[in-house]
Amino acid sequence: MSAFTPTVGRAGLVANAIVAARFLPIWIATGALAIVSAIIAPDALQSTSWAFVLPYMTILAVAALGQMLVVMQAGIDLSTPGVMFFGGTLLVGVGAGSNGRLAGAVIACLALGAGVGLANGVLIGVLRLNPLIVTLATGQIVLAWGVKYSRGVVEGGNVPEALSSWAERKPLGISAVFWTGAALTLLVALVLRYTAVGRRFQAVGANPRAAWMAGMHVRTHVVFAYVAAGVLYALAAVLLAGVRISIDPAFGAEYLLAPIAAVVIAGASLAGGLASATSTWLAALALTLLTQMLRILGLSTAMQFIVFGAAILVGMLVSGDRVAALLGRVLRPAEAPSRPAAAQTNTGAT
Amino acid sequence: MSISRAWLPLALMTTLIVALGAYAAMRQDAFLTTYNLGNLLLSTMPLALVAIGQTNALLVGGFDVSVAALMTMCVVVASFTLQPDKSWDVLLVGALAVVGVGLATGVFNATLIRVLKLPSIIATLGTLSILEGAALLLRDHPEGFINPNAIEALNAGVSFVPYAFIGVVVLAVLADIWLYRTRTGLALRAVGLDDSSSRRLGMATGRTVFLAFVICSLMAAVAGFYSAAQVQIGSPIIGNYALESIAAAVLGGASLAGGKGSFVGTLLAALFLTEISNVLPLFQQPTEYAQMTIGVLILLALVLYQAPELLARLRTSWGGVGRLRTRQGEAAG
Amino acid sequence: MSIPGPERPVVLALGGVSKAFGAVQALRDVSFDCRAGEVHALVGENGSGKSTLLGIASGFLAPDGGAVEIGGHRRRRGSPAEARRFGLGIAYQAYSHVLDLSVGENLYLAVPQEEQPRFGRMEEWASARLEEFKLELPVSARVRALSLVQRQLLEVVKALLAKPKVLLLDEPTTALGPKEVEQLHELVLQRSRAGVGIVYVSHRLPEVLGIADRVTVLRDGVGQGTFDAAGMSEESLVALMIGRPLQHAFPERNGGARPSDVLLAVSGLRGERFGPIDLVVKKGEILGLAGAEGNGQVQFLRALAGVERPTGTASCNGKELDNKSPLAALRAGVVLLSGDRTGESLFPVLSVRANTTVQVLRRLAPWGFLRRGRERRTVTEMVRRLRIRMASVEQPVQSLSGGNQQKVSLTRPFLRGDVRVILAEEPTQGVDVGARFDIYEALRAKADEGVAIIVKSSDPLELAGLCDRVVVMSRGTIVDEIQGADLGERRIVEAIVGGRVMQGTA
Repeated sequence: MSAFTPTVGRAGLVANAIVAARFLPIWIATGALAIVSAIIAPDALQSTSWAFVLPYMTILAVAALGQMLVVMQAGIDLSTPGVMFFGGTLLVGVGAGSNGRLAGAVIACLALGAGVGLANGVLIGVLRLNPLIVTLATGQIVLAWGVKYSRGVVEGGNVPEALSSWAERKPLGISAVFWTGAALTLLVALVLRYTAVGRRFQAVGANPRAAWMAGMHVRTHVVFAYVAAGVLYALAAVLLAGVRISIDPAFGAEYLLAPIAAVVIAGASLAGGLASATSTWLAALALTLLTQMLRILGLSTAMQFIVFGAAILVGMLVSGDRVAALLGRVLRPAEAPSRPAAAQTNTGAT
Repeated sequence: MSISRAWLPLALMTTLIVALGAYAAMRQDAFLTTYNLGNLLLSTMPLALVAIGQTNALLVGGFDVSVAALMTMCVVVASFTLQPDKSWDVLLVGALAVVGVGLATGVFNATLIRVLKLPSIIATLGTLSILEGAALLLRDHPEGFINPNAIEALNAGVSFVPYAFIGVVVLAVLADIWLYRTRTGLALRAVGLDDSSSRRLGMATGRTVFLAFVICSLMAAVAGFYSAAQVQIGSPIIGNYALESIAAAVLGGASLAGGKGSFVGTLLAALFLTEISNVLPLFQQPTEYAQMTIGVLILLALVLYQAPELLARLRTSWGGVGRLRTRQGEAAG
Repeated sequence: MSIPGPERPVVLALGGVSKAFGAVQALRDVSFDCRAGEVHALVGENGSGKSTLLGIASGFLAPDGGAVEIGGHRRRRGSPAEARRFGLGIAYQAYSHVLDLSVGENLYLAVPQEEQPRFGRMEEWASARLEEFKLELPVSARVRALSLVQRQLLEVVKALLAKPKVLLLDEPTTALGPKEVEQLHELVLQRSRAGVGIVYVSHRLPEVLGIADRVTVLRDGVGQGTFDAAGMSEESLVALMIGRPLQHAFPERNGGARPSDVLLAVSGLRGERFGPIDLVVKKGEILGLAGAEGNGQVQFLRALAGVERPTGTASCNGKELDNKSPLAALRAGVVLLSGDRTGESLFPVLSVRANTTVQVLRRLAPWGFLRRGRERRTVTEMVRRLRIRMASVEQPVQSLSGGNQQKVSLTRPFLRGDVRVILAEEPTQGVDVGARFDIYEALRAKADEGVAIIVKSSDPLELAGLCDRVVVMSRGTIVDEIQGADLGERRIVEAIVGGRVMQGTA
C-alpha cells in the first residue's frame, strides 16, 4: 500500500474551501456591500465620511473581539454595556481631567474589566452557571454601580485631554484609534494561530470534555476567556471615551447587541471553538458601512435597528455552522452514528 | 426535586416580601397606605405578566430576550390604536391589534427556534433589535396619549387591590395547578426536562416548544397594556423587562435547564422586585440600588436554589463549564 | 409455549427494509415479521443491524427502502408517536425515562391519552399497575434515584402499559441478575399468551432459546433466515451469527509478551458498575476485553484512565497508578482512546493538524510559539505512517471518514514519547474495512515497542485476531480468560453468550 501524502492539489483546495466556507459569507457580503454602496450611496465610501466612522467601527471591533473569545467557549457575554459605562466613568472620575492621572485612570478601567470578567469566569467556568443569566446579572450590577459612581463625579467632566487629543491624531492619515484596533485584531489573530495557548484555547472551546480527557485545564481557559473579554471591553471604553470626550448616561449602551451581531455574522460557531479575529473585524466594518449607507440614504436610526436584527438572523441562517455543515455534508461520505450504548456510557460518566 | 426544595423559592420570596414590607412600614408611614399599596400592586402588573410568559419559555429550556422590545412595541401600537375619544368598539379592535402584534412576534420567534433551529437566545436577540427599530419608526419620541377610559378600566379595582392583580393571582395559581396537576402540564415539564425521552414516548415535543414561545410573546403583549396604562403615552423606551422577567422567573424557582418552575413563584418574585423599586424612593435612595440588588439576587438565587448540584459539580472529577445550549429545540436523536 | 399457527394475524411486518448510514450499509433488504402471541427473537452480533431494525420498526429511523406494517396499518411517515398509535410498544436499550420525574409520572406519560386516568388518581393508578406487573418500586421516587435494574424493569413495564399489539424489547436484560431475568420472562410470556406479539433482542443465547418461539439471525445487516427456536441450539445460532463473508487480515503476533515484564497490575479495583477486578497486563501484550454491552468494561477502562473515580489499586510499571484525573493518568503514561470519538476524543471542528498535536504542543512550541513548519512535518509524518486519507492537514476532522478519524486519535499515543499503557475502546467501530488493518497494525506496532494495550471490543473476531489474550466480563467482573490455542472467535462468543460462564477467572 502506498503512502498517502497530503498535497495541496485540487483536493487540498477543496478541503481548504471547507475550512474557509465558515468565514466566507462575511467577506463576500462586505464586498457586495461596498459595491452596492458605491452605486447607490457613493458618499458612504468617501474619505471624509470614513474619518468620522472608522473610530466607531474600531470600537465595535474591539468589543466584538472580546465577545468572540467568549463565544469561542460556547458562552455569551451581556455585561459589555455595564463594563463600558463604568469604565468610561472611571476614566473621567479617576482621571479628573488631569493628564498626569490618565495612566491611573486607564489602569483602573482595565482592572474593572478584568475584575468583572473574573467574576463572570468563576461563576460560569467553575460553578457552571448559565452564561446568559450570569452576565446579564453582573452587567446590571456593574451598570448600576457605574451610575451611582458617576453621580457628582462625572457630570460636566471630561476625560483627560491627552486621551482625547491622542484619539484625534491621524498617523498615516488614518485615526490612531483605528490603528490601535487593527493592531489588537492582528494580535488576537496571531495568538490564536501561532501560539500553544491559542491552540489549547480553541481546543477547549471546541470540545471541553475531550480537552479535559486530553489533560488540559478546562476551567482556567474559560475563566481566561471572560477576563480577556472584560479587558477588551474596557479597552473599547477607553477608545470610546477618547472619541466622545465626555460621558453621557447612554455611554456604551449600543454595545450590547452590536458586538454579538458582528461575531455571529463573522461566522463564529456558537457551539464553540471556531472563530476568526480578522473576520470579526471585517464584520464590524461591514455593519458600520451598512449603517453609514443607510444614514446617507436618509433612513432613520430606527431602520438601522431593524437592519441589525435582520442581519443577526440572516447571518445565523446562512453563515457559520450551517455553511460548514452543508459543505461538509456534500463533500464527505457520511458515517454511521454512534450506537446508543456509547450514549449510555456518556451519561454514566458525567 | 424533593418537596422542600420545590417550595423553597416560594417560601423565600414570601419571607422577603413580608420582611421588606415590615421594615418599610416601621420606618416610613408612607409605605402602608392604600395609595402606595395600590400603586405597588399596579406597578407589579407588567413585570408579573411578562415574567409569567418568560417562565413558559424557560420551562421548555429556552429564553426570550425580546419581550421588553415587544412590550415597547405594544405600547407604541396602543398609542395609535387606543387613542383618546374613541368608542369602546373601536378600542376593542385596537386592543386586538396589540394582541395581534404579540401573536405575530410569538409565531415569528417560535418559527425561528423550532423550524429553523436557531438557538433561542440569538433568535430572540434578532427579534429584539427588529422590534426596537419598528417601535422607533412608529414613535421616535414619546407622543400619542393612551385612551384614559381604557387606562381607568385596566387600573380599576376593589378598595386598593386592582382587579387585574386579582386576575393575575388567579392566573398564576391556575397555571401552577395546570403545570403540576394535569396531564398536559406534566407533558410540558417532561419535554423541558428531556426532549429526547419525550420524543421516544411519542409526545409532540415540537408543538410544545412552539406553543411555549407563542404564549410567552402573548403574555408580553398583555403586559404591554399595563405598561401603556402606566406611561400613558406612546413611549419608545420602556423598562429593562428582558432581564427582570428572567430574574423573576429564576427567583421564583425556574430552572435555566428547563422543566422546572412555578408561576406563583414567578409572581411572588415579580412582586418582590417591584417592592424594592417601590421602597427605595421612600428612603430617598437612588434607583441604582434596586438594579444592583436585583443583579445580586439573581446570582444568589442561582447558587442557592441549586446548591446541592453545585457541590456535586465541584466534587466530581469532570466539573464541566457553563455553556449555552446552542442546539436548543432540536431533538437529540 | 404455544407455537402460533399461520392463522394468527401478523402484528408487525417489515418487508425488504434497507438502511445505510453514509457508506455503511446497516441493513440490506431485510424482511421480518412477528405474529400475535409469539416471541420472536432477533439475534446477531453488535453492529449486525438489530438496533437499526428496531429503530425503523419504532419510527425513530426512516428506512431508505422497504415497507413497515404495524397491526395491519401501513406506516406512512415514520414517527414514534404514529407507531405507538398503531399498537407498537418498545423498551429502549438506552431507556426513555425522564429522570427528574417520578416513577408514577413516567408511567403516566407512557400510556396513550385515552387510557390515562384522571391526574389526581395517578399515584394510585401507578401503584396498581406496578402491582399488576409485580414490580416493587416507590411510586413517588424520582427515576434518577432508581438502580439500573429498576430502571430496566420500569422501561419494560412502560412499554407494556400502552397495551401494545406488538412489543419490542431491545436488550432488556443487560442490567438484570438471574432472578430478575426470570421475573421478566414470566411477564413476557404472560403477555404473549394474551396475544401480544413480542420481538426479543438479546445477546444472551440461553435466554433467547429459553423464551423464543422463532429466531431470526442477522449478520452484517443481512438476514440469515428465520428458524423455529425448538430446532436450534446455541452452537447452531453462533455458527449463523459469526459466519462472515469477509475475512479481516491481522498483523502477526511477534511472540507476544515475556512472562516477567508485568507493566500494569490491577487489584481489587471497584467502581460504578464493575468490580472487584484483578488483572495483570504485560509489556508488549495486547489484552482483549470482551463481554456483552453494559457489563462494566467501559467503566473499568475509564477508571484506569482517571475519567471515573474507582476504589482499589492499580500500579503501572511498579509504581502506584495515579488516576485521579485524566491529566494524572496521562502523566503516568496511560492513554485512553475513547469509543465516543467525536464526543470525548476529537475536536470535530478543528483541523487534523490541531487534533493530532494537541497533546504535544509543549514540544512543538518552544517559548509558547508554535513552529508551524515543524508541526506540519510531524503531522505529515504521522499521516503517512498511519495512512490517514485526507486532502489537507488543515481539513476539519469532522469531514473525515470514521476510520480516518480514529487514526487521527491514534496519532496521539504515537507522538507522546512516554506512553506505557493504551486503553482502546472499540478501536474499529464505524471504521471501513480498509482502514481496520491499518489500525490493527498501528496498535501492534505500539505493543512491539513495549507498550501494554487493552482493547475493549464488541467484535469477537477482532479480539481473536488481534489480541494475545482475552478476558470476558459479565456483570462487572471477569468471568473467563482465553488464550493460546483456545483463542478463537467461537470460543469468545460462547463465553459472552453464557455457554461456559464461570469456568475460570483471572
